Amino acid sequence: MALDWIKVSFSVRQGFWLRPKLILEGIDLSVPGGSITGLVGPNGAGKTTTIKLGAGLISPTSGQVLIQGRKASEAGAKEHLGLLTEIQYTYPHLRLREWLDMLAGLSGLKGSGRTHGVDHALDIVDLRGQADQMMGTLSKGQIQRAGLAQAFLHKPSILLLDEPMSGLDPYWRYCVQHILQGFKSGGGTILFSSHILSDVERLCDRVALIKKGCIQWTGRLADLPRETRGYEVICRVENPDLLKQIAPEGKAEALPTGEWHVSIPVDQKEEVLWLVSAGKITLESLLPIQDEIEDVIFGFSSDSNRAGQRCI
Amino acid sequence: MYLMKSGLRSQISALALNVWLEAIRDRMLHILIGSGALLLLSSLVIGEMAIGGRGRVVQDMGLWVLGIWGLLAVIHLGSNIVRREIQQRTIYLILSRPIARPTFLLGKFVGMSLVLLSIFCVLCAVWLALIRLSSIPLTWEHYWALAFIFGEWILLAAVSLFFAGFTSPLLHNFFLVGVAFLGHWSNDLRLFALNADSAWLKAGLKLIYYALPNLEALNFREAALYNKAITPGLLLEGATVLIGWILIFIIAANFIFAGRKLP
Repeated sequence: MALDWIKVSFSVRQGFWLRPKLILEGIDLSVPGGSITGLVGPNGAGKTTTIKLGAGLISPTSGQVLIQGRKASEAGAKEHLGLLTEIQYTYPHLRLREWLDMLAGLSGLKGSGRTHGVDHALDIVDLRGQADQMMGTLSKGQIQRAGLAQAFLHKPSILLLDEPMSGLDPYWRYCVQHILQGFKSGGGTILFSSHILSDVERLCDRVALIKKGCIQWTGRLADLPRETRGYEVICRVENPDLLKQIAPEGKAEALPTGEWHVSIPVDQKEEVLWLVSAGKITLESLLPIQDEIEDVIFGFSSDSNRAGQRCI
Repeated sequence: MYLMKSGLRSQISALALNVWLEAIRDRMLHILIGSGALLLLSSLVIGEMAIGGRGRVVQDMGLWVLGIWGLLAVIHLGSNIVRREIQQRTIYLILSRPIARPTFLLGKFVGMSLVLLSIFCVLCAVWLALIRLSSIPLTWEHYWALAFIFGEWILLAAVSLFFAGFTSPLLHNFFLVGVAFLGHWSNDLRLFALNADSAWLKAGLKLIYYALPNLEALNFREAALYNKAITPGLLLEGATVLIGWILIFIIAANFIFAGRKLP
């Protein structure tokens, strides 16, 4: 495994009497090498804390966090780790290149390798033109891209990304998805947290649902119990009255291309296929209408909560 | 081993350069250097009015300004050097890399020393120009006095790093000024301790004497001013106090910072 959280709990002390407040409780999570795992959960669930523990920035109260089998808190374990924080914490009086150069130096890059690493990272996020700009003058999206650039500086094999799409415009969200997919196809491992479930669905091989400091479920997205609620049919038909037969409650809609679009219940699928085989309608497309990923994930997480799982 | 050493060097130099770059773009520091230089220049005017003559005032005031401006620079640089990194979370992207906490602190210390060296060079150049303008002959005692004034700046930077690891900026400044002033009264404190009647007072004063660096051991201003010879023994004592206390404060700062939890 590239990353392992083994029975990890984390608490902070707060208030006048410094009473402990549990943030994570007994988390068990493994991220296999060469995969993309999405960490999904509502605000305050413990996603950022899980990522900070993975990066060795904080130490667990109990349990252990391992990076490729080494303790995450060891400096040496972080050699192949790239981190992107949710908010980019930068130095406003440094130029972008100076900032990246410093971080490259901290990652152990030297000489021409360091210059090349910085240029390569700037090229990945298309910020070469802004390299000599003060960081305080960069836009929010550019800062987010700069954050991604620093994560790629030393060619890590593991990326921990906290809300990587935050602050990006649709074009750059699309680009970042490609960058991350490219990283994975090169053998890289990614754990990323996101509120945007469509990104999770598009990118992740596996998902970990976290809620109130507990991992509720982990697995492949395909394993989530996703119900088919009906089918969307696009077809050509001589007699549109036939459509009433297959979709008694659905409203058939004529498309400008001369086709018809209609939603049918699950039990009418056989009827449609019969009409097609009888040559009464010409089928252009038949697509299942499934539960939305949000409904499945959050429905699933509230179900497991109701099932009596102990959470903070 | 070589790779490890060179990696460490690269990490320390990267951090130090960052501290230096940020500091030289800081307007407050420009004001500090400018005001120091102005005060040094004003010694020419004050010297004309003084009884002791211009030469004496230019030397005396110059060495005093160099001493005090070091403390002011350390207060300004040191109060936020660790705190700002933690508060603004910039430390996350540093410590998520293969860098040990002592390396981080050492990089900050080297950076701070570089900034202090830059400030010292500017102020020193102004002062040396004034000395030449006043036709004062420069002796080895002047150079030793200057070297140990800079040494005191570096020692104060180490003290600052120690307090910055666990206090607020206000307390940091209070403790730093306290160490600087009590350090210069160190010899007097020992004398008070010897003459004190109360055993408690005697013990308290002795404790302060031993717990704080004796900054008077680094003070060769009088020797420079009156052209008194500085013996190798005194120089050795000064160097020992300087290096010893710098090491003590850096080790203590590391010890505290190693256990510090990030938010």
